[in-house]
Amino acid sequence: MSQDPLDQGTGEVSHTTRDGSPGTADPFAPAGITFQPVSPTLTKARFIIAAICLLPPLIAAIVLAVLVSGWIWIAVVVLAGIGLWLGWLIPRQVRALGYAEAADDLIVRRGIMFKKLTIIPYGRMQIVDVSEGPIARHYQIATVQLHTAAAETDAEIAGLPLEEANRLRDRLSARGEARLAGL
Amino acid sequence: MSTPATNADQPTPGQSEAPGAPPPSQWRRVHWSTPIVNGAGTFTVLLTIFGYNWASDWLEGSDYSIHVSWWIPLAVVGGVILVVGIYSYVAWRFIGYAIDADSVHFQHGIIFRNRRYVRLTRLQAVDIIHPLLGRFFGVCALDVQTAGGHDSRVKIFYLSSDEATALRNEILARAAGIKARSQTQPPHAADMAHRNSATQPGDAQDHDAAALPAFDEAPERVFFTLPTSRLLGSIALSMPTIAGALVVIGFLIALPFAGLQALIGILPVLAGLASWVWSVAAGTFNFTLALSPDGFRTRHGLTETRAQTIPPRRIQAISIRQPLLWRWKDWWKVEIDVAGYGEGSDSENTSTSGLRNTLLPVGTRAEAETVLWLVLPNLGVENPQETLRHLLVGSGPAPGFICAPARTRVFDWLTWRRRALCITDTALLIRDGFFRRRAGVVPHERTQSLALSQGPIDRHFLHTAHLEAHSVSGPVHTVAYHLPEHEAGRIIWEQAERARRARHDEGPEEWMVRAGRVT
Repeated sequence: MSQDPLDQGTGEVSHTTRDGSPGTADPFAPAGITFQPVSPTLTKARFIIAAICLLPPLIAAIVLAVLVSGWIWIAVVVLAGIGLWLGWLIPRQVRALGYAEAADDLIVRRGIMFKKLTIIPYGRMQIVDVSEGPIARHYQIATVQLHTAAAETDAEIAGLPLEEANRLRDRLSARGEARLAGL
Repeated sequence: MSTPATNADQPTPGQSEAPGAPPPSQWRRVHWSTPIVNGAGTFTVLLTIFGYNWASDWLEGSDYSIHVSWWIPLAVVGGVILVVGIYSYVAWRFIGYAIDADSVHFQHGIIFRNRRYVRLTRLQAVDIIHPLLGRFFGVCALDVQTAGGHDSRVKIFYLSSDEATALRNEILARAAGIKARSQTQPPHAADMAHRNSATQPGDAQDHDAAALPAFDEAPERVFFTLPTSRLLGSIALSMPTIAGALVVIGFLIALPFAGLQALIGILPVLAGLASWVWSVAAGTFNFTLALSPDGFRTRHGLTETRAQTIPPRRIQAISIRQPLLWRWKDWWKVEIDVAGYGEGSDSENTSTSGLRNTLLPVGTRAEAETVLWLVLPNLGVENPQETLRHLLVGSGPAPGFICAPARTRVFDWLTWRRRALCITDTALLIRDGFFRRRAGVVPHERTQSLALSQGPIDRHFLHTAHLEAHSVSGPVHTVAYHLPEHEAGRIIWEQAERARRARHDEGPEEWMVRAGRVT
């Protein structure tokens, strides 16, 4: 469907640029910017959350399939399929997460299927949140979220090691202070 | 009366516990009718209940001995009025407001005391609202809006109209950086005499607290008044009206077959339509847009009226829209994003509150373009007329515009020709909407953050991406869809740099100081 000669070949590279290597035409891997990856432990934490959500219904479905009706095996297959798909997706999603601290902006990138690259000027930051759930806390990782006056600003960096999260928060606050702008 | 006290405890940016509250002598009381206007609903209910019981007893008085039926209800009503009256009086005594050099304070509540203050540099807009009931007493509420998200405002209610106007003038003048009657006033501020009546230049500032420091109202020039005929025309040419008319026509056709029972079916439709028409007409009635050094002034409303003042630089983004049927008359609507306005509190849902974000409810294209020009005097292009024409009514490629490529038509049958982005020296112009044309304008210095997003179809088939310019919550749509991905990937960085430079070049928050009129 891509007749436009300018677009030739750009669709293919997007999967292989998670290290942010320059020189590709992928707009989500801009030249000259090296994205920091997040902690791979986030994969483990997300696996556990997925398991907590999926295993009880899966076991219940198996029990019902054995006891009640063979048709319920369909539900078992569907649930198992979702589990396998998540097992494939989660590590890739985590590897796609990245952030970079440029001179004047924080750049956050995320997504495999639905990609998003957000540029937040330090001077526009209103609030920096550091939060952690029980599972994340067990793995010593936290989520840093930035808020500007715009509700759409979607700058969340999940899976930062705790010390790094706190350091990032302090750095962001300091830079925000230095470049503070009005609304 | 004390209910708002509990939901407003949370400090939000721009307002929190006052560090140094003004001395007691600075506090002023609100108008004596406040409890009546506030509690009028409750009063009416109580009086109706007791009045009804009393009347029914009176009419069928034979069951009771006549003197019992006389005094018991009277005593109950009297007692309730006394208790409510005393409570209201005490509650009224606890309501107060104060203004000092850099903030506005408001406090209320007997048991759950609540005191709020707003720093004037954080002010986003000032509204004066005359509710229907308040108009009997000539009182109104003054609403000082800040940018702090949900319910981030100080609402002082109720004040007499003169007092509210004087207070608004004072708030705006102080926020603009004009000092009240101070001896250190620079001589060239004398040309600001219309703002600052320097009749008693040496007057002490700790002057009688009850008297308002005199700040004259900034002169205003009325730019636009909505003729009632055009208001009615715009309502007639709107989708709900057309849909309602179709229902009525359908009913008339069905009448011979279904009989009058069909009437039951369409009554709710008509009632809904009538209430919608009423809410739009009552909120928009007599809409006036005026300009003053304090920014844009709008006034509108029939039963309840609202006068808004939006100072310069508080407009974050502008939208110009045209519903399908307005195309016939070439009418347009101009709306704006103002920080805090988008986060209307739940308690406020009145006929005029829906129009807070509107600068021009129905105007010709020339009027809409002029309003845009007033907000953004420099569009940053060589030929603004041409660019505006492409932005509002154009379709397909235009000079300076980056359009959605033709390959996107597969997933975007009609709108793809309209989707385009134009970046000028001063603003981001986004063109969109096929049936309902719309244009979004975000000045570079107002951009909050930027984002590039792309879904699987965009990446694998269309090779496009969406560029989002984030603005504060409001009606303006600020996403440019389906831009060629290589261009979008380049533009976003250029735009980040442009926004950084524009932000850097901004002057101080006080607009009169910035204009060099006051130092």
